[in-house]
Amino acid sequence: MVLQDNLFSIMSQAQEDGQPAFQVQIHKEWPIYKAHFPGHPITPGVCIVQMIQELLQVHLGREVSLRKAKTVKYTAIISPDEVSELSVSFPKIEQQEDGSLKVQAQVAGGETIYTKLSATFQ
Amino acid sequence: MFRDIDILELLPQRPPFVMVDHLTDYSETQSSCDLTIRKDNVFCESGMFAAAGLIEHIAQTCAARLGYYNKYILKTGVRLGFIGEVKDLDIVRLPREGETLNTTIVVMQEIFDVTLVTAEVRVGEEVIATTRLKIAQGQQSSSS
Repeated sequence: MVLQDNLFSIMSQAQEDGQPAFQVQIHKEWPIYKAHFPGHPITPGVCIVQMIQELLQVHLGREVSLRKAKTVKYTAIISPDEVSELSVSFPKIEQQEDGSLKVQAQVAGGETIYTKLSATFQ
Repeated sequence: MFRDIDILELLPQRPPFVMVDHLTDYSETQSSCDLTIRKDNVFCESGMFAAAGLIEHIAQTCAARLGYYNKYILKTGVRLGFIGEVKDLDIVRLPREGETLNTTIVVMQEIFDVTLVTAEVRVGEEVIATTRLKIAQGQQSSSS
């Protein structure tokens, strides 16, 4: 499932202290919202991980896949009826000796932090 | 016997976002589910099952256990559930199309509506992923 241009679109891409930061728009008409859950559309937590992975790929210009996660913490629910824009920032993207990437990412909107991820991609 | 239950009876999710096929084992502290990776699975791309799908499969193994408990033991409805945290996830390899995942969760702690589990995903005897999950239960599902 490719989420870019289905669940979300990139509105802008910038650099913050040398690290990428994206502004994305959430599409409330995404069909999966009818399945998760009927009558209660909520962005699946795993799709936030997938969105972070896809944005990382846009930044790197190559495919990567989640290998390990120290933690992915969901601190607030993303309801498409209430949230239409999100900012996804990457405070840390660090190449390891084995070629893998140590990544920290944060998903926020206004004052609310929705998700914090600390993981390794390969 | 658990296998005979229609999995949709136990879950608040609906197709195409259903990532378990059967509840294969249930006890208060440990449960298992299986999933065969089919080509039309929304997380299956170029013959590979995405990491996000793997985590969702583990989370829905927890959902099926809670669904069984709510429906068959408490005799109430299925409730919505949310992932609170994924911790110490290790994906040895991604599943391939056609493979059957057998996943077991062990409950470490249950406090009110929050459940902490450890999970192991196997293909045959091979362990392909392990993690810890925190799952929170919400309101009753309108699909049950």
